[in-house]
Amino acid sequence: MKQAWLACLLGFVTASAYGAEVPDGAFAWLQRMATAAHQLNYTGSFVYQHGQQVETSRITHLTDASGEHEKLVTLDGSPRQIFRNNDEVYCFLADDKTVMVDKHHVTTGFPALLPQQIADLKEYYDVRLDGRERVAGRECQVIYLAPKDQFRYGHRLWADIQTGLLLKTSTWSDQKDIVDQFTFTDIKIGAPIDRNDVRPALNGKKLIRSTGEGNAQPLPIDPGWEIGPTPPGFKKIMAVKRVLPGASVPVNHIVFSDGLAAASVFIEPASNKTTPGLSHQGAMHMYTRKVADYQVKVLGEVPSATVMQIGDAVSFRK
Amino acid sequence: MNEQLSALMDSELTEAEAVRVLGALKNNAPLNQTWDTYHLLGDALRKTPQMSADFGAKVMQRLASEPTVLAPRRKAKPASPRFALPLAASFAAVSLVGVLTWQMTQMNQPDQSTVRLAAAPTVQRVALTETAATQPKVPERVLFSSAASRSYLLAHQEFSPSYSMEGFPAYVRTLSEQQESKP
Repeated sequence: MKQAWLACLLGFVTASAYGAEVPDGAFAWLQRMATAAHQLNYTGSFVYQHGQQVETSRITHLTDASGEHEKLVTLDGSPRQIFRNNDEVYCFLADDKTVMVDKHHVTTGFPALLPQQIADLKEYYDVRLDGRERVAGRECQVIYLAPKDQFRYGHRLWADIQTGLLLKTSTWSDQKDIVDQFTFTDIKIGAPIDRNDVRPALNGKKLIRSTGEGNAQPLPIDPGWEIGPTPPGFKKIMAVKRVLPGASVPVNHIVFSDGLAAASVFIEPASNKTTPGLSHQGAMHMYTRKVADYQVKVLGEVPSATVMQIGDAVSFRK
Repeated sequence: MNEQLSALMDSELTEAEAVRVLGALKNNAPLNQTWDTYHLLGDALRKTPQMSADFGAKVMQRLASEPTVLAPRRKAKPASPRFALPLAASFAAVSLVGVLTWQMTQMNQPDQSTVRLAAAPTVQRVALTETAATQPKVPERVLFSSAASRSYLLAHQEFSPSYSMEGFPAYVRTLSEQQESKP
């Protein structure tokens, strides 16, 4: 009996000593982070780095009785800003005269991680806590997501200990290079925010809306398109036919995700603007090819191998 | 002296020169800081995940707070005083090399001989050729213009889990623009 108690006690001590390494601890942090990003009020500046580029932006986030309102303004180069007011996103273009308006179909965003998402994450990433570090003068918990294959990037996330808010994130390639990174340099969390600060000034601007939006039900995609096999773990999470802002013809939009990263496939009639090839910006890769008379464009925060494999797996059967 | 430091990091000094520079390092706090900075620069260039800035200081602090073991001394042999110090120094040097080698292997650099700590342009060029060599299948990658692809980026962002996890900062990938870089 005495031995049994001792074994219990030992087990308990060992469990608490290694408690920090239990994956569920890391998942609890991911949950907390996802909730904090959408429910807290905060304003701050952050630096976005990709390749040789460094850009500074200012962000304000307000959640009140009327929902979520946010603003992102670039501080370097040409002035660009983007607002989100619940399901509407306003993107001010560099000329400062035109505003692209995108009506989102998902009204609430994803306030928390879904159980399925967590199961997927566990299968394709090693998720663990990785000590504490300071960002923007605040103590942070570091969470590391190491990919199990070359079809996804590694991620290091710094979450504010006090509030759970993500203050820094870096995305890693399998060559152990940072592909992009954003870091808050200063942040105020919980301070009151004026609703007018996050309201887009649309007076005198030319609005580019997508025609045909406002349909209660998005249209199903054109029959005949098949995509597969996709890289391991990338499951279809959405398929819709929609008109993008500024476009005249609808596009088939299909999204594949492994729970953390996503790749979008856009299929539309090819035009003289269709240029096949591979391009990138930081973690974002874009792969364009022609299938019959159609342009297939794959876009996502995934390595080049992933957009290419998905793009090459697109076929059309009559 | 700074050039000598950099040469020491690259193992380009003769033994006599190295001894002189190490001696100078011992008694010169600003020089010590330069040494740290060079290593930090090397780390930044190789994008090694960084330890906290005062990592070295913390180690020294921990060392200082370790209990001193009081054990009976062995009888000193007459010859040992002459060799003890140089021997200790060479052990220290060997373990330092060991640590450095271990750190380098941790970095997953395929060709360690090409890793030069203080020569920035070389490191950059090595990094570029490596990427080219390890990804032979991939067609030439160009930088895309987010202005031309903005409507696609916006549409993608709506469904990407990166937005649920990272919040609105994730949209910076939609806004980002290539700026011309000039030296």
